[in-house]
Amino acid sequence: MSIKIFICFLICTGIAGTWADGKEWAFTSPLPQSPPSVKNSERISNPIDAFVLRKLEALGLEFSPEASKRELVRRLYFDLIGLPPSWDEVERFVNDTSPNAYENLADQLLNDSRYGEKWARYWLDLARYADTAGYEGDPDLPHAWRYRDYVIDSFNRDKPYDLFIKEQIAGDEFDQIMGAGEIPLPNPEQTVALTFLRLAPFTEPRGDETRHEMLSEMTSTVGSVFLGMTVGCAKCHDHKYDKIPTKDFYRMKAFFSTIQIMPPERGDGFQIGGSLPAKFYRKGESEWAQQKRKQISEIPKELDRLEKELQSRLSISNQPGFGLQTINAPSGNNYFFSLKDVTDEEIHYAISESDGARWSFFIDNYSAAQTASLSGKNIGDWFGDVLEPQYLSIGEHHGGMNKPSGLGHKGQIAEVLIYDHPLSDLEKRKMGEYVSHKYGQPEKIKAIAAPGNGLKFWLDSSDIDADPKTSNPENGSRIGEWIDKVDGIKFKQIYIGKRPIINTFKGSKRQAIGFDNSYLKATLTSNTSFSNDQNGAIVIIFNSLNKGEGYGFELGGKNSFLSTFVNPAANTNGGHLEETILLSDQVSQEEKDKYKDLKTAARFTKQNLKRLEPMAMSLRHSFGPPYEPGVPTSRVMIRGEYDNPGEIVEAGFPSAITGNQNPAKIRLDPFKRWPTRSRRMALAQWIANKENPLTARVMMNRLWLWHFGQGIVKTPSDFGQLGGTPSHPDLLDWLALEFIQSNWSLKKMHKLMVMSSTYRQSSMHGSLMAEKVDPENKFLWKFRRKRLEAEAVRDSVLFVSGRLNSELFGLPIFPPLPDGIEESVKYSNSKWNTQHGPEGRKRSIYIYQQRTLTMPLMQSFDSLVCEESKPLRQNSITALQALAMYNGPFVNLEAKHFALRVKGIAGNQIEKQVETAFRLALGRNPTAKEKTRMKNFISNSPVEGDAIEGLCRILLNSNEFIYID
Amino acid sequence: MNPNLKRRNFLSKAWNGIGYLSLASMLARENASANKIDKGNNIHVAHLPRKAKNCIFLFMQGGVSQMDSFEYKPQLSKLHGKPIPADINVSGELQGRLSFEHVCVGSPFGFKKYGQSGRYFSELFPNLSQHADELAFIHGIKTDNQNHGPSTLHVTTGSQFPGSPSVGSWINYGLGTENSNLPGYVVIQDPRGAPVNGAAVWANGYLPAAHQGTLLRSKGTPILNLTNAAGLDFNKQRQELDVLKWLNQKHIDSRKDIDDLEARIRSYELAFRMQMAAPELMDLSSEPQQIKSLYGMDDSRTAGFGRQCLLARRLVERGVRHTLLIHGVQIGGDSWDDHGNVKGGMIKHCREVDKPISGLITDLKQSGLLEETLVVWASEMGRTPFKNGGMVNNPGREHNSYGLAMWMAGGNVKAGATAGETDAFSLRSVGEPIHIRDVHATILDLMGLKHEQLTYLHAGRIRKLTDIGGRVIEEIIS
Repeated sequence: MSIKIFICFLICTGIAGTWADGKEWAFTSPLPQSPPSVKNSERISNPIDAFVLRKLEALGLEFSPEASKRELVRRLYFDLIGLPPSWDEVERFVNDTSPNAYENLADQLLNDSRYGEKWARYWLDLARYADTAGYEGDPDLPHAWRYRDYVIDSFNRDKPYDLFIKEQIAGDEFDQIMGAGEIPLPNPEQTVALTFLRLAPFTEPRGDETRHEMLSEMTSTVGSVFLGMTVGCAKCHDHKYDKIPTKDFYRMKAFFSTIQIMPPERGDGFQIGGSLPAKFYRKGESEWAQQKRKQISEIPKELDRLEKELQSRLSISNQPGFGLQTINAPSGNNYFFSLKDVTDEEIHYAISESDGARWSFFIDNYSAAQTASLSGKNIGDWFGDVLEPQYLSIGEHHGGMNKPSGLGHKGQIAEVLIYDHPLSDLEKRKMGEYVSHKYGQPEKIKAIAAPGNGLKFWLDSSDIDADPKTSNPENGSRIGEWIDKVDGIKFKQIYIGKRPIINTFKGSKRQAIGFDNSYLKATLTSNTSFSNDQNGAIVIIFNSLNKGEGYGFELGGKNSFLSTFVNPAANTNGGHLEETILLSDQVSQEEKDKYKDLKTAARFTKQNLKRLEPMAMSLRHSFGPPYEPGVPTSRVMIRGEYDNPGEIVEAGFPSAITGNQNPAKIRLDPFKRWPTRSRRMALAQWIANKENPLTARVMMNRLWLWHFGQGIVKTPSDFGQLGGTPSHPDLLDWLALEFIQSNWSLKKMHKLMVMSSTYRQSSMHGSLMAEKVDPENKFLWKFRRKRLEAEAVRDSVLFVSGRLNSELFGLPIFPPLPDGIEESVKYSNSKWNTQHGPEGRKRSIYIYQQRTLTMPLMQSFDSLVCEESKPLRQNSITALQALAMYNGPFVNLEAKHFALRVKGIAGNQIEKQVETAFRLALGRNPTAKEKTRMKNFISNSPVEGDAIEGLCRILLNSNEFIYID
Repeated sequence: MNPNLKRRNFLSKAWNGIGYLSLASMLARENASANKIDKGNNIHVAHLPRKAKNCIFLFMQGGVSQMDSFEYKPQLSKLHGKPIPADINVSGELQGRLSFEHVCVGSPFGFKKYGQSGRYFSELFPNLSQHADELAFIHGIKTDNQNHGPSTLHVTTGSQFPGSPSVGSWINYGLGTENSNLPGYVVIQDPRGAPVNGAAVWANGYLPAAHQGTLLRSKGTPILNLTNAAGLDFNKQRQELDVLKWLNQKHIDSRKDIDDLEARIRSYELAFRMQMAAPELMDLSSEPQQIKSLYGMDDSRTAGFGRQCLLARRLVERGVRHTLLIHGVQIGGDSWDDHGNVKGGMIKHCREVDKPISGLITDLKQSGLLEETLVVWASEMGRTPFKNGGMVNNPGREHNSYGLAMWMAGGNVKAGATAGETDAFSLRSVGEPIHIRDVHATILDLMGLKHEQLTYLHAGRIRKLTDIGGRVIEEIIS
């Protein structure tokens, strides 16, 4: 026995012991159960209560009192549609005294399309739904979203669960072939449904191995999702808790053996495989797609329009000047720009300086204010603002400020000087004198010295090798090196074609260096003394002629840089237009967001149009010989290894249930022309059969879990021995049979559950007796308080702020992420098409599920993008969750809108505002104490407006907002 | 109600995976009796007496060439440019590449013996080699997949399929955290970008979210959402948080079963403290210049990883249980994936990490922290001794999931020891290969955890880092 198997054996036998004799309870058919009689029959609303109460009474316990109407309405809304009731809806229900009020509400919510948006999420967790394939590069699955909509739609239409199963396992095998002729095409809905089988993570295929792993994954997922059987365990060894021999795993896998995945499209570097045609099938969907396609194709035009408008508003069309910017610095992206025209071929000197708190700009001794500067956040940090400085560069300016075509270079830099302090007025004047003496017309015979106090760096074009004894290169020569005269920092150019040219200034004998898409660069060491400085000044002496030509001086570091530049007129060719717009205070936040969104969306146009093709990430069966491969021989793969074939097996159902390992009957067409067909349908029909002991039970247990917070069987995807004994086996059987009799209607079963007295109990009740006998509330002597799921948290925040976009169905959405974290996981280009507008405020079920990037807020509430089937989620409480809710940009932005909404309703009266905020967020009035405390908080706050926002932020962070009684 | 009973109720719920409170670690420190097992899910159990309290995991993305770093193979060099001998077992995963001629690529680098252990290092590690006697090496480690995505997951999470908890998550789950102001598991990725699979590399998988790695960012605030987006200062925040606390307390007063509600109140206090602790952690200005130089922070080529390593020491000092440092990105020149020009690539990558790692070991040692810190160096796989197809000017090497070499240091690692050996061509292990799950079993053992006992019941299976096996490599444990 190899070590591996031996250890396996140890683990598997260590806890549960050997196989039990006979069949497990879950593998025998549910028996009809009549509701037991109970003492307190007044509390029986429907048979569910009889089963639950009977158990409680046997323990000497009873039901808790019914929850208040205010609690019930909130509970029912969150439970059925995943959103809170509005204040009006709360009041209407609380004041509705008719005996049917609660039932009417339940009916109304079950028929609300928001029901599907809430309940489909549970299924998507089971289906390991994601919009990308994971692994290297995490490639996009362009049509996966259609499966998400299929699930929402199926829930909303209360599709019979047996049909729902068959569509997802064998959607391509519905029509029976009765004679010769073509293979019937599956309808588009069923084609989309089959996406279920393709949602596992996928990477660069490796032939047989990949196929083996892929089909094995399908087998185990189908087993645990529909049957609650962990057949996956038996892939490598016999299941040691349950009667699932390895052979049964491979017998079940054999149903999938004729699956045909379409080959990848040309140009798909990751080879994730192709899609199949599937028309848009819901009413109005095709028109919607067409309109959406139109809208998306027009994005570039729309962007152009907006850009032109903003450009003219900011009069930045081709205004030259000088400025400074920092990118990705700790203080953020800053951009300052002077509008003084310097494109006059005259010699200028520009000073950018910081005293450690604030930047100032001067050009020829005019301050920025005098030259109508456009400025961004004027946070000052000197070179210290660059993260881990690595280089200095001079010449072609960062961001692609190209020269206007055909004009040739006309801009020159004569000198760059760096000082360790902002220049005093006197020093600025001296600088002016120095420039005019040295470069004036005519130059003074002997130029005066540059101000030398605190000079730390000096590039001088009259002495490019920093050795006054040697002569400078001749005019017209290209230079590969320029050396700083203070510390000898060497600027170099290794590319011949990028070397700048040395020449004289127009009308002057002094030399200067012309940069025409060329630059020089110096590598830094951390002892370059000014790189950590908090204050200082950069002086650039230059001339220029062409508008739109930019060059400057830059300190670059780890993804961040600070540059000071001359003549960087914003033009549509790139460069600074975007920064200028985004940092200008003449553009509103909404316009900025729109501009940003359009800019991003324009990049994703192609991808979005692809998503809108009438296709699905589906699969089909192979057409068989002579066209495609026939039915392969299925074998046990020893230890689960793809290249270790064992015994031959035929497709068949788990023997733990059927009691034998006979081959399944697969019904082929009369001519056996399509031997590869109907295999998965045979499996699906066996699963979705009312005789199957597991299917209905497993689904009813899930439904129970989702309503009551804990399953009757605690492990919803494992009805084997490890799952332990069910708390109410008779109830589970009754529910299962009821479910089948209702023609597999989930809505009918929801209704039964929420109408029960069991469901309507208070969660706040205490009972010494009950706490002693059943401290975990396993037997439901009260309702279990529930924490909202991640999706409900985000959706409710938006609902309360009044900004939830309620549009049903559609393309994946991309809500803004904190701090651009999408960039941290990008492979080549970020996949995150950030939407600041209403699109990004749709419900959370529409959020793009990117396997390498879960939205931090969602993750902190335990919604991780799925990698494998997830039967239940954690209910974590972490500091990161608190940080996301209290500090994060999403909640803070919505708190602002929530506050505006409060003020809109309540006006300026503080008491009314407090009341309104409580009503909107918590569906109740504040108590007298709360009112007083909140009023104090608001009136003691220094800035009045902020305090309402603070109150809103507090309410959104409160336990009462997150926990539902 | 008896408070102990209450606590027990809470914990038993925690073990069942429902209503789990990730502040359990804090509670566990308050209540030592938490060390018990229920339904296969346990928390905070040190099984073995081991010196290491914290772990630093250094992960090199891309697949490090073992025969250009730590495996001296003179015979390979002799056959440079010639086909690999027929008796060398180029099969298994490598079979797919059989249609090519396998032309030997000798290492272009010189090797020398170092330390008393007389272990060979290539000339690419002039600094690390000075610690030869501190390190224990494992050679010929096997993972189950030859692609970057799965093999990276295999080394970092024990499973080649996404969805499993990472090594650091398991260690945190097993041992809890010692610093209640910082996360127990911190990740610093290469400032140039993300590894293959992104956050799946440090994910908590099916373990509770408290055990996820927290990314320490190189841009913006060190931890996400560390400052208030509405710009509130600490005083204003304190004021608001007090109101929130008051409101939450009122809410609790009328309710029963309040463990989760109380834990959530505490989570806000912890978050507030984290806002103070994290910036202090990141502020390297208090570090003397000679320490920064030790880590190579004064050279732009080593500054990036040097900073990561220096931060790792600061994290260990603060009792952060697990630190994952990643060097290299998905693809391109900054990945160790040297399919072409392995010579140039290795010179670049090794130079970036040699001094910083050596500095880290020196610094840990001189501050007495190496004793209680386990340092692990890994990549997702090794590389082949041959070049597929004909020889070119600057040959590279292919993936080799049989040839991963790793080393460990600190804690109870047997300094200078070696486990496993590859053949004369570094192609695969001589004899029974060491599987990556053996390495995982060993890492857990060195952290005081028995891998068979560190389990979690998930979706009907008792899950472990080592999955279906695992053997502790006793040769490298002192």
